[in-house]
Amino acid sequence: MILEMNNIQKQFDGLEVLKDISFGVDSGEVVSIIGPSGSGKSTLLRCATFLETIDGGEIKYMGKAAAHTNAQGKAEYVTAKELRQFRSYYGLVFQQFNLFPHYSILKNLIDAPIRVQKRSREEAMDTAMDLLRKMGIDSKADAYPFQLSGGQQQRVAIARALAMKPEILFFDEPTSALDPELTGEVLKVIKQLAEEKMTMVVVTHEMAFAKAVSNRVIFMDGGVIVEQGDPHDVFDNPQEERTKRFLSVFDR
Amino acid sequence: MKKIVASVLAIAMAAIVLVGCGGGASTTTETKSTTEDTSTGKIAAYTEEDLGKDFVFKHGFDQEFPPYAYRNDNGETGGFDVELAQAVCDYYGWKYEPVPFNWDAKDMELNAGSCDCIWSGFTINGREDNYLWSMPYSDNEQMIMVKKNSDIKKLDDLAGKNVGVQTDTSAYTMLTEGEQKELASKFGNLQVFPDYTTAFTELKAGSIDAIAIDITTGDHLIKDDKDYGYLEEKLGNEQYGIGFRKGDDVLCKKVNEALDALVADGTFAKLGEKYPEIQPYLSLGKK
Amino acid sequence: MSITTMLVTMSDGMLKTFGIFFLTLLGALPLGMVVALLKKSRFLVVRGIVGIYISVVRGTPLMLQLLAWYFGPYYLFGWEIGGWRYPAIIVGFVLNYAAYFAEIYRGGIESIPVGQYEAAEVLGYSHTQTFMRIILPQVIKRIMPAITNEIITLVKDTSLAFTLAYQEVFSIAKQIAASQTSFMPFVIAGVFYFVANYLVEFVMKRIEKSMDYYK
Repeated sequence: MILEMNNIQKQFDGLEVLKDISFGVDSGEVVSIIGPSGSGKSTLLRCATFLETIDGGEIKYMGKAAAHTNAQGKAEYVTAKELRQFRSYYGLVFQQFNLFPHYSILKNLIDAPIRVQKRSREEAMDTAMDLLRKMGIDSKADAYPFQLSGGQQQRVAIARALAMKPEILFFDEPTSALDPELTGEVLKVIKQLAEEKMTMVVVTHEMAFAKAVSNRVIFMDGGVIVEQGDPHDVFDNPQEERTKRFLSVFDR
Repeated sequence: MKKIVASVLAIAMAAIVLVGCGGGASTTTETKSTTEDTSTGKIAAYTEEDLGKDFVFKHGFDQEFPPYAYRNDNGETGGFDVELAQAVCDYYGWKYEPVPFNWDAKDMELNAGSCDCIWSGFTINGREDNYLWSMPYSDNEQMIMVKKNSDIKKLDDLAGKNVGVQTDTSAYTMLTEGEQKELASKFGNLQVFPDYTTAFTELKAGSIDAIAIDITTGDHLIKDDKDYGYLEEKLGNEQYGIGFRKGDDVLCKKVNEALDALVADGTFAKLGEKYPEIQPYLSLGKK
Repeated sequence: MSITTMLVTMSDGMLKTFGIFFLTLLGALPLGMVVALLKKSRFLVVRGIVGIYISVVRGTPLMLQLLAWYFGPYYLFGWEIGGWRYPAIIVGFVLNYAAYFAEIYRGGIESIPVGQYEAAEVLGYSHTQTFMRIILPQVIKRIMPAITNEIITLVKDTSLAFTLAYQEVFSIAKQIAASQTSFMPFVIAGVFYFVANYLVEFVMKRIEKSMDYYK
C-alpha cells in the first residue's frame, strides 16, 4: 500500500465534512473520486496532502504513519521535519495550476528538486526536459506561465509534480478551471501516465474519463464513501440510491 | 508652544514607554516641574574645573536672525553674536560649537542641555526672571516698519490694520502681554510669523500693513529696499544679553569677565565696526 | 550673495538631505518587513503592540514625532540631549517610514493567492524558502508602485528635519532667505527636490521594468 487513510474525521467549525472515512491506494492503481460538490472529496485529498489537518484517524505512506489518533482521541502528527520527508512521497496537481509566475517553466520544474531535494542541477535539468518533452511543451521551457494557455499550464503543473519523483500523484479537479476545448490535452497526459502505471488519485467531474482511465471509482457524498469498485460496475450498475441519483444527473 | 509640545510629548512618550519598558511612572511629575519653571533644568551647572581648556562651549542661536546670527554672504554661519561668542571662546581657549535651533524650541534646547546658552539678539526685558543673564551688551528699539508712502504715520493709525510679528520675539511679547498690549488690541489682526523674512515678504505683497520689529533686524531687512521705513514713534526699548540656565553662575561669570576683557582690548569695538547696523546700539565700553 | 555661493552653501545641506534619505531607506525598508511579519504573529500581545505602534505613527504628524524623539529623553528621563539631534531625526524617520512600509508589505503579502503557499508547501519548501523564494519576489513586484510613492514622499519629508534645526537643504534655504531677503534659495531648494524625485522616479521605473518579464 502506498497510501492508507483509516477512520479519517474532519470538522470545519463543528460541521462534519469527513465522517470516519477509510481507503487505501495500491501501487499502480488509478483511483477516481467522484461525487457532488460539498461531498468532502476535495477535503479528503487536502487531508491526504497535509494541507488540512485531520481531527482523528490515521494517515500512512509506504506503511509509515504520518498521523494517528492518540490516547486522548485526537489526531497527532509527526514533527514538521518528518512531515517534510513524507511530502516527498506524493505530488499534487491543483485545479488552479498554482505555477510560480515569476519562474520560467523550466525553473518551475527544477527549483524544488534542487532546493528541497538537494539534487544536482544537471540531474534536475535532465529530468525536467524529459518531462517537458513528454508533455509536448519542451519548446516552452524558457517561457513564463502567463504566456501559456490553461491546458499548457496544467501540463506544466503535472510535470512539476512529477519532477519530484513522487510515489503517488493526486489531482484535485485538474480540468475544472479549463475551457472545455482544453480539457482533452490534460486528460490525455493523465491517461498516458496511467498506462505507465503511475499511482494516481483523481478527484474529478469528468465521468467518461473516470470510467475509461481508473481501476477503481469511489463515490462520495455527505462526508462518507457511499460506493466504490470497478468503474464499469459503479457507472453501469450502481447499487446505492444516492449513486444512481448522482449519475443520472450526468447522463442527461 | 513649549507647554503644548511638552504635554503631547509626555503622552506620546508615556505610551511608548508603557509599551516598551512597562515602567516610567515616576517621570510624569518631573516633566511637569520642568514645564512650569522655564529655566531650572536638571542639567548640572558647570564647575570651575569643567571650564578648562578642553571645554566645548555650545552656542545656541537662531540662524535666521540677521545680523546677530545668520548665514553670511559667504554662506557661512556668522553674525555679530556668533563672532562675539567665538571671541569669548578664543579668550579662554575653549572649543566653539555652534548649535543652531528653531526659535520656538530655544527653551527646550537650553533646558535639555543641547546648548549652554541662548545668544542671538536675545532680549532681557520681560524675561528677567526666566534665565540667568549676562551683562547687557546691546540696546535695541522696537519699531513699526511700514511702506514709506503708507497712510500709517503714527502708532494710533495702526487701529484696524494687519500687523506682522515674529513669534516669541520681544516685539511679540510686548504686543501680546507687555506694555503695548492695549495698542495691539486695536489692531485688525496681529499676524504671527515663524520668521521676519516671511513677514517682510507679506508686507511687500501687501497682505499685511506693518511689521513690529526691533530696529537692528529691521535695518538688515530693508538695507537694499529704500521704499520701507519706520514710524517715528517707537514701540519700546530693550536690552540684549546672553541667557544661561539658572544656576550656571560660574559659566555666566566667566563669560562676563571675557566680555569685559574683550571690551578692554578693543576686540568688541572692532567687531562692532564690522556690523554697522548694530554698532550704534552696542552698549558696552561706551561710558 | 551670488547664486554660486548659494549653491555651494546649499550643497552641504543637500548631502545632509541625502544622508537622511538613504539612512531612512536603509533602516525602514527592512524594518518595515519585520514589522509586517510581527503584525501577522501568532501572539496576540505582539500583534497588539505592533498595531498600536503603526496607528500611533500613522496617526500623528511626523514633525511631532521628531520633536518627541529629540526632546523626549530629556522630558521623560532628564537626560542631556547634546549630540542626539541627528540620531533622533534618523530614529524618527526610520520608525515612521517603517510603519508605512509595513502596511504596504502586509497588503502585498495578503494579495498573494493562498495557492502559491499550498503549491510550495506540497513541494516541500520550508517556511523560510517559501517566503524568500516564492512569496517575497511576487510581493516586491506588486508593491513597487506604492513603494515608489512612499519614497517620493520621503524625499520631500526630509525637509521636516528643519523642525529640529538640522542643517539640511531646507533649513539652509530658510537661513539664506532670511539673511539675503531673497526667494532664490527656495527656488534652488524646489529644483533640488524636483530633480531628486525625478531621479527616484527614473530608478524606480527601471526597477519596475526589470520585473516586467512576468505577470
